[in-house]
Amino acid sequence: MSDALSLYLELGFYHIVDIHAWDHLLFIVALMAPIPLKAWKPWLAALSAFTLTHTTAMAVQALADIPLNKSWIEWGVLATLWVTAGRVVWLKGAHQPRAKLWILAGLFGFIHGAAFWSDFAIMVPEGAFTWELWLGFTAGVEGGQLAVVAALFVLRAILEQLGWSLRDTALVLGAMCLGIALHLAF
Amino acid sequence: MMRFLQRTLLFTLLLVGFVSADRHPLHLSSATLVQTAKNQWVLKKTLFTDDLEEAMTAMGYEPIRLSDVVHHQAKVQAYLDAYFTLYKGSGDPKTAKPIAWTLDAPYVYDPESVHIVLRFTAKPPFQVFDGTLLSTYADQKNVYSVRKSAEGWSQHAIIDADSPSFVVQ
Repeated sequence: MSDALSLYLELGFYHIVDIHAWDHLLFIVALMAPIPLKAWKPWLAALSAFTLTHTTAMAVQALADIPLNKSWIEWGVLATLWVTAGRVVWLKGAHQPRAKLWILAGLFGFIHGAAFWSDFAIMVPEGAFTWELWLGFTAGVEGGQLAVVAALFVLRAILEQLGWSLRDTALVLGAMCLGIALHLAF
Repeated sequence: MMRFLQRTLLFTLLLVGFVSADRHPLHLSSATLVQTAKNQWVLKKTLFTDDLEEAMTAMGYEPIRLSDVVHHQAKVQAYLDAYFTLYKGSGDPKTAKPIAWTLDAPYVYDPESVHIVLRFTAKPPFQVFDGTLLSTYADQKNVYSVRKSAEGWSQHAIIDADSPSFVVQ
């Protein structure tokens, strides 16, 4: 693996798995919290839709570099978090098998993709963009996303052993995400 | 007992979240290091304005507002003198000879970022020690792309607290 690819892979991974920055991380937690591990179709569909659209948004930005207001993007990311976490709280942590969560995840992926691009553009020295760097960063983001999902499933399994139902866990996580998202805004 | 543990865990999670939550703060600078002629190098570095202002203020200056370029050029030079060093070769910097560099004046200011240009003469290999902002932010990363010919970027590096230097081959 080239040094460029591995360096930007690391930057992408820790852009998601970052205890100092919560927005993207909490969105993934809130999105996945109510879905049982065994119901693999809904969570795989939601995760895939989110990945597809945020990667598409990053690719479009790399090709066209559409000027976007960074502040609006940040508020947009927070709004996706409010809606997703708010939905979990509203449903009291219940999983709705018929809900087309992947549509929501796919739409919100465009906003997160714009945010990823905005941050990636800062990480690349002026004039030094190559698709190799883009690929490394994007793959790192996906790796970070999968790590968060894996950690969430492990946490839920531990809590289940302690007597927590999936619904209770989802409600607690949803409430936590919503509370922090509101705190981030004000 | 179980209910007490659950409530304690929930409260702790909420407290940790509320205290430490932040939107995505990027503590980054980026730089290109380009060889413009034989052994002639130009380093163009971009730093977030508020980060550099905070770092310079922490260095002991009065609260800095870098928009006053003429007034602060010498302070930016002093900050870089303290935190940016180049050494010949790839060996132990304690025994290596430093490489002199010059800072173009004036630095370029905009409210979001400050752009600085350094020039120096060096024959590879040489080491770049870039401690800018590392002592201010534990998660600071200084990203470099190196170009030695028109063919493209030959090297990429990240400088952070764990690895404060890299060698240009």
